[in-house]
Amino acid sequence: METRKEALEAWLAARMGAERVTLTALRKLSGGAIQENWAVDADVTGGACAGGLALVVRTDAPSGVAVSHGRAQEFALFKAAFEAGVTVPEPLWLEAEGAVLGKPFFVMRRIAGVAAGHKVVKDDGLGGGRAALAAALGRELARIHSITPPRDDLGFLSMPQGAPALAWVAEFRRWLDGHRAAHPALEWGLRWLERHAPPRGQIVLCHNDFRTGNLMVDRTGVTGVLDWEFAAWGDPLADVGWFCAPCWRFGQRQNEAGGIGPREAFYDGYERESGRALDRGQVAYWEVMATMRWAIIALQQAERHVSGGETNLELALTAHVVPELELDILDMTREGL
Amino acid sequence: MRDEPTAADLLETALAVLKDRLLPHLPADSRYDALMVANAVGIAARQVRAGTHPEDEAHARLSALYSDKREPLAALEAALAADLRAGRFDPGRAERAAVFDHLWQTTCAKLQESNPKALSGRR
Repeated sequence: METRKEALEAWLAARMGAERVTLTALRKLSGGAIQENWAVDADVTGGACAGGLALVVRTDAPSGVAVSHGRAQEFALFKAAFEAGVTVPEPLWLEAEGAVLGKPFFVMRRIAGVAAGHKVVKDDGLGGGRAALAAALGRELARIHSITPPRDDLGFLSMPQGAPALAWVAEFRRWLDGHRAAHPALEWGLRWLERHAPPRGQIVLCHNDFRTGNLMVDRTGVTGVLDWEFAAWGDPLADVGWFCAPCWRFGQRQNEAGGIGPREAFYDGYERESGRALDRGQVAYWEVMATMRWAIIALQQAERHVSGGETNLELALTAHVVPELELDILDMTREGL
Repeated sequence: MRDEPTAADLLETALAVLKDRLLPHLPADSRYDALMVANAVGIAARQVRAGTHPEDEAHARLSALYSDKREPLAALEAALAADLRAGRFDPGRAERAAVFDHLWQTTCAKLQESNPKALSGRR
């Protein structure tokens, strides 16, 4: 990035219609095994953006996982979300050719706040209070779910065949079949998920990683819904279950809405924004699905360390979240015992 | 051949030094790495301490469940996984409770090594 600074300045100046753009600070942001994010401060002379701009340049990390969307697709997603009223960093410009940085990237406005899960669940001053923040997040999710197919601009998103829940079950089983060791506790849960799968209902844009840790907040409320790389068409309750599942409460298990606040406040925010009642009876099902999905993703991440040639302690330790997830799954699927 | 202390003791002693004497002095941007190291050393120490006991127990339970088979643990786990998927332990089946009990105990034994704090109050 540093070596391409001048090319980036010239490209940004052309996008802004500015006489000159000078990048005064370039800082790689932490996190993101799939993308690299650079915080960039731009000094702009002339044109509509004259003055200072706080930006993020988002590009691919050296190794990305297969499920990740390309930068052009992610840009389209951010635009769709922004236009639907979701609080996301405003997407500004896309460079899809790789002609400036050697790989595709897009530029968005930089947002401020806290996202780290263990901080968000402990700081009562964030988001205007526990219940208010839970409700605000419910409204955000409802706005995401207001985006429905067909959409020419989002044609790259995968669409489940048949019931979305059964599509997940089939995908997880396929992955387990290619794994060297059997996972009977996960198979127990998958059988339960298969037997109780809801039929295909309404299909909407699912964020698929809408959880504490990926939601940036400050004192006043939500400042940005982040990490859209798993987005796909699906059942809206999949996102509700992912947000509320015990495994994403960062130790605050009593606060059932993401470790942040009461479940009902989250539901209420969602229902007021969407104008539709949430089928509460189905959320428990999708929490089991969420726990299963995180267990599979954790095994996949660990596999990158074990057999993927990426020696990495964080990936290695991810395997050791699986037993707690398996115990949650067993606990939630006691039936006929 | 080996003189004491051996693996588990060494790992536990090293972990205590890391936590009590090194961590407090580390700058904030190294803390996360050090906590990961402490976590990894702790898991390794508990695995060494437990030895083959959890696997022996799991093998005994599965051998009782599959009394017609005399196979190693991995093969029995593969059989159990396939049978679960095929619905052979669905509600109403005679061995369902025994299978759940096996899965629960096996998972608790894994969690005891991976994250014992998460296990307290869950049995």
